[in-house]
Amino acid sequence: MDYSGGSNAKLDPAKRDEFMNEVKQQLAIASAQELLQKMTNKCFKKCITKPGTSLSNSEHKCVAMCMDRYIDTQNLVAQAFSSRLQQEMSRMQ
Amino acid sequence: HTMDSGQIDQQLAQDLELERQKGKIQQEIFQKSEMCWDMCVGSMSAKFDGKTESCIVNCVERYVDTAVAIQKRFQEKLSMGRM
Repeated sequence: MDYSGGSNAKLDPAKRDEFMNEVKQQLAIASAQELLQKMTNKCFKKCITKPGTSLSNSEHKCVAMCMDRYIDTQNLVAQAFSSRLQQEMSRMQ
Repeated sequence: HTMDSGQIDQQLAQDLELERQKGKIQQEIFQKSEMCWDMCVGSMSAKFDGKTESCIVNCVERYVDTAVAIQKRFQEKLSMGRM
């Protein structure tokens, strides 16, 4: 995507920062919502095998563990992916 | 300071592009996490055991290997006029 145009256009830096902060915030919110959605799907599958009339204590416990494990998974993936990305990029140079 | 409709603040353009790239990588991480969770994670525990952790790491690595292999083979096919 090419946003470039004339180089004389300059926003007031404070306005630009304000706009970027707004953008970043919106992105963070959307990202968190997506994460919660995925977690709900995965943890429901893992923990609620026979739906009862309410969530049992063990089901609550399982969901709590599941959330932590899912975050662990994301951290492992982020780490493995970023180091591999760096490897591939240095190979291309 | 007025801005013509055809002119964009360069710094803003750069900042937005950076966020776009970050978003792309975030999506990749989300997608791989889902995939490798499905492949590697069995029952719930208080902590991942070594087997599960290495499965997840291997999952990511092998996925990248697959992407690289496919890209390479695709290039070969293109240059051989087979596609």
